[in-house]
Amino acid sequence: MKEIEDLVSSFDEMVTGEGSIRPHWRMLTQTVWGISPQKLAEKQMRAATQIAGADELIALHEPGATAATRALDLLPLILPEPEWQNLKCGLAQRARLLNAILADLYGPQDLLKEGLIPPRLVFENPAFLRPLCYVEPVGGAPQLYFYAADLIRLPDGEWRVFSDRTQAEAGVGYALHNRNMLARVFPEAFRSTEVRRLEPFVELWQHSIRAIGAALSPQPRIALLTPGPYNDAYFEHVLLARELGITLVQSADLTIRGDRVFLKTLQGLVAIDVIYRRIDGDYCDSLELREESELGVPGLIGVARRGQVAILNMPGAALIGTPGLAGFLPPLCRRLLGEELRLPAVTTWWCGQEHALREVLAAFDKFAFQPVFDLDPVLIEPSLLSAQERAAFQKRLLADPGNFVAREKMAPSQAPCLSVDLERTKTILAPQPIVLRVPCLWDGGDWSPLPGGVARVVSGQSIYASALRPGGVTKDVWVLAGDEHQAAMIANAAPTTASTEWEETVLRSRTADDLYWLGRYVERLDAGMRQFKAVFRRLVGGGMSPRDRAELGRLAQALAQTGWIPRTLVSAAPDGSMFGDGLADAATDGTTLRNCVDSIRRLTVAVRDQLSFDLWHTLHRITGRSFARFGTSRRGADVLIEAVDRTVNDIAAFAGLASENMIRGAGWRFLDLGRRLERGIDVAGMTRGVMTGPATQFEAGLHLVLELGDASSAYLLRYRFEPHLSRALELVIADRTNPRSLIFQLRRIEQLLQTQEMISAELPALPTLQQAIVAIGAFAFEISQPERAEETILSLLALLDTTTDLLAALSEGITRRFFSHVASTRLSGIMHRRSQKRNA
Amino acid sequence: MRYAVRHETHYRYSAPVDLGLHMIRLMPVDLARQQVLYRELTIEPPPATLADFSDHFGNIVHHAAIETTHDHFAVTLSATIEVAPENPSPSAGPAWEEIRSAMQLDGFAAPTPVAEFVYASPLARIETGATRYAGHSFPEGRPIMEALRDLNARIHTDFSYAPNRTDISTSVAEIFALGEGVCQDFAHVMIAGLRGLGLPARYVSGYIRTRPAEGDAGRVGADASHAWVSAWCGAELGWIELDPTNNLIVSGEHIVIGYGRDFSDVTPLRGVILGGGSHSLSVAVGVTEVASPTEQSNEDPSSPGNEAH
Repeated sequence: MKEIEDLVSSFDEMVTGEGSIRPHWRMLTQTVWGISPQKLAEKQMRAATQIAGADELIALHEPGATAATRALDLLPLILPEPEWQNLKCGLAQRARLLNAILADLYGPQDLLKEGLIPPRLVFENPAFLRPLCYVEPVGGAPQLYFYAADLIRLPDGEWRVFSDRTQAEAGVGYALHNRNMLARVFPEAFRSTEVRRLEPFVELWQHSIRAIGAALSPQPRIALLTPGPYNDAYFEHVLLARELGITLVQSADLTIRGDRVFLKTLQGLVAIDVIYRRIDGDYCDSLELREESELGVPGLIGVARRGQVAILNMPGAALIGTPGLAGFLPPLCRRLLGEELRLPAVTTWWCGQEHALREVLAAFDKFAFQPVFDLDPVLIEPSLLSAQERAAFQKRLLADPGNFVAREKMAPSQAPCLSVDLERTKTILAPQPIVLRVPCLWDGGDWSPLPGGVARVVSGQSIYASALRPGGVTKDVWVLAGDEHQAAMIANAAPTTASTEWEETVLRSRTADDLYWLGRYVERLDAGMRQFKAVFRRLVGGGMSPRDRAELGRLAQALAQTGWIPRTLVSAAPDGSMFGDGLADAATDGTTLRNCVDSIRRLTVAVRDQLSFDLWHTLHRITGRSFARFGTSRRGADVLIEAVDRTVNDIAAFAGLASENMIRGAGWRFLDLGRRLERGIDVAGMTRGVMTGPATQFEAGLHLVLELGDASSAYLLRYRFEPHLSRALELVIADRTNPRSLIFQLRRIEQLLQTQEMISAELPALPTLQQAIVAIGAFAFEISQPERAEETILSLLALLDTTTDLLAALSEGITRRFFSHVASTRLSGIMHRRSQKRNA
Repeated sequence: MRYAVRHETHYRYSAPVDLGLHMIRLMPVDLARQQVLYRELTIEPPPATLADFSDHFGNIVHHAAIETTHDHFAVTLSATIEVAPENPSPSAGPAWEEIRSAMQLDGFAAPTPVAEFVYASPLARIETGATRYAGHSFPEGRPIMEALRDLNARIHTDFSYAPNRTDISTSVAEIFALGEGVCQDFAHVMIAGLRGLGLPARYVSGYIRTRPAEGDAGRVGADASHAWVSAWCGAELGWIELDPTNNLIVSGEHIVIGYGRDFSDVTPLRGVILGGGSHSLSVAVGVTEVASPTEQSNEDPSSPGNEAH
């Protein structure tokens, strides 16, 4: 990249101008030189694998999009204690200042009246959210609870703020994760150096966030509001919610009743005192802010205005990150804090003033420009433009100079990055330019920076793209410890008193709903796959027996009934090519298949934080690799059998993991309930399908039911190859020991309904369920005797019908009782206007 | 002059609504020239919570939450307002460029509260077309009032009144392309034009008197809410209000609900509901002149001294 090649004079973090290694880097470099290049390469590999694993575990991306790869360089950025102290004071002061300006702009606006801030930078700024004016933060919280600064070190060795991140910024989670990874793969590095720990910062955070909530409730309930799993930083949201012991929620989990914000849980509505938002401020409330937002809670600002919820940061906080304001901070600091600004920004001009415009035009190529209200802009660098483009841009600038901000282009410092040349067995420390992000947090009295951060290696992308995204190479940041400071930091953080017990006992309604449907769709996919498997097994190999043909016809009927294949295939000759090809098409591309897989994929994402890695991984395999195999297969029956087999196996693995590795909480119960209900409906439907055909085909039909339920061998073992229709039926319907029988599902459902939350739900179908279990248990299967057969079949059909209706009613009852308030609100479009023209 | 205002808004939903959150900006404010003697907002079904506050522009806002299942939603404003007649022909004022240069002042426009209305806003962006159109009324050195009157009259002549051709989010550029619209659109055209020239302009939401025909009792319910423009004319004249829809300088016949940068700041009703299907809407507005206190009749729907909020 051109501008980086030009950086001959940039500051080197590790090496002095005379070529010697700076003292605070010596221990680390010695450690690195003491390890063989092969070993280092191995460590690098392990770090990459672990990060990829962690990302796959949590960070998701829109289907079809490729995930940005995150990488960790094994060499940290090292900051010696005195330098850190300087930076720390500068950051705290800057946060204090930005907060004070916000408090004024959302209040009396004296700073505008005094001519310290140009009105245009506020009044035309889309980040100035007027509904937040005079909304006081709750619990003594500041406007700017959380602040992150992106810094670069200039050639003179001074750190300068490159960008003030005041919206809802990523940082701490990545810093914690980087530290964790590094300690795991490169423990040697930590042995020789005393590095400031990051944990005290997390403890401070837990403490301060609960102290804010304490204004509303003695046991404050705190939620991290995330846009959801498809957000770039979802990885961090999950990680932080865990570290902080707070509940991870999305828009649909919250509702407003009366004066409070509530979390929808299985146990009912639970009041929330503090929302740590990771959605942008203008998306917080579709009633008062962006009407198209589906990420926030309608009415939230009203609740904040009445002092009944703390929102961190206040939704209007992004205003102070407007780049054009940076140049006005030094006088504002004197006015508001009575101090000189300790940590200024890189030279930044708002072009709306004559002298600024003159400066900028005089050294046009030394600046990078951006529209003034664009927080993550594409930068315009005149030096990189053609003469024609350059003139065009200059014209744009002069037409409305106040619409642009210019930043002097500066060479960021370079830090060593590890690379290993295995061919020549050489370890190389290559200097690369870096941007440092340091997150800061309001600790109850002042702002405390994290003793560390994330250093981003600038390559291929401009240093001006300052948002921290999952992609790219990052470094851990080490602050070398002076012991007394470490002790002080811990002392400041009083022990966290608030319990997080309720987090474990409370299940979000949305999650219960999602787990229930996940169970149903997995089971539905399983049933479909088993039927396809039975079909393909009969299609491979040569000749087709009349019995095969009959069974295939029956299978086609069953598949069509549940929508897996088109109805037209049912009448096709089973040994013709139309039948085989049609089924192959349906298996690879059918709507039911797609619907199941898409639903499972969506629900897996939605309940991501409830699943263990193994469970998540198995589900991911079902919707990912196994499903892909259908698409790429040559569609020969043998290939399809293999694809189907794998899916069936994956589902079995999922079922096994769910029963072995999942805590038997409400979440598990809803997952299991979904599976049992779906299987019950499936078995009842299949059996009913068999029984409605001509009596001569019962046997073939029953065989199929046994085969699909994996019960053929049990049946054969038990009844020694003697076909015995009554016993076969009994095995499928009423055998309590067969985990695929109808009664097994019903009894399991009954058990699940005996738990506290279900009993209190008073589901109307429960007594009917118990009656059905008794009726099935007492049913006499006497269809072998011709004289009794017809009567038996009729009463069995009636019983199956009742059971099917019952299960449907039960599902509806559960949905209505537990999930009815899951549906999210929508904008009514209630905005009207009429106009009057007077008849003069 | 004293007016009785009644403004009814009635929504009927095709499917039940479980939860309705509404933001209401219907309450007229007290102003130097406008004294609200009585105002009451009735909401049907009765909301579980009703909170009111004053917004950034000083307008009165109500938040109503209806938490029981309902199939209709009705808001009615009843108010009695004494409006002082204003001088319909203010002095010509300073040359318009004087006002423009006070808004520039090397990046620090003054006075600050006025400056808020000189910049682009969501529904009144600065657009070349609108600026050029307004510019024809602003030749060099022309006194501000003269120029404003001319622009007001031109908009009245050049745009035809056509309900249902535009909606609440129609942009100024689209209004120019159509050449027609309603009062909101004409106000936006004028505001965008003035701002494009560097002059501050506000959007006013309110009512205009329904002028009864001879011997007629007035057409209560035939009309709806109205909108016009408030333009900054320098420290001496202050804000002057003009109604481009009727080619009037506002004086004694307009009742103000509130001010904003454009319609989006003063939307009378905005809501979020859970459920509801489709809805039908009916609106009725009546603004009638009532007798002054000495000859107050029994027909007066409202009585002074009974203020809500």
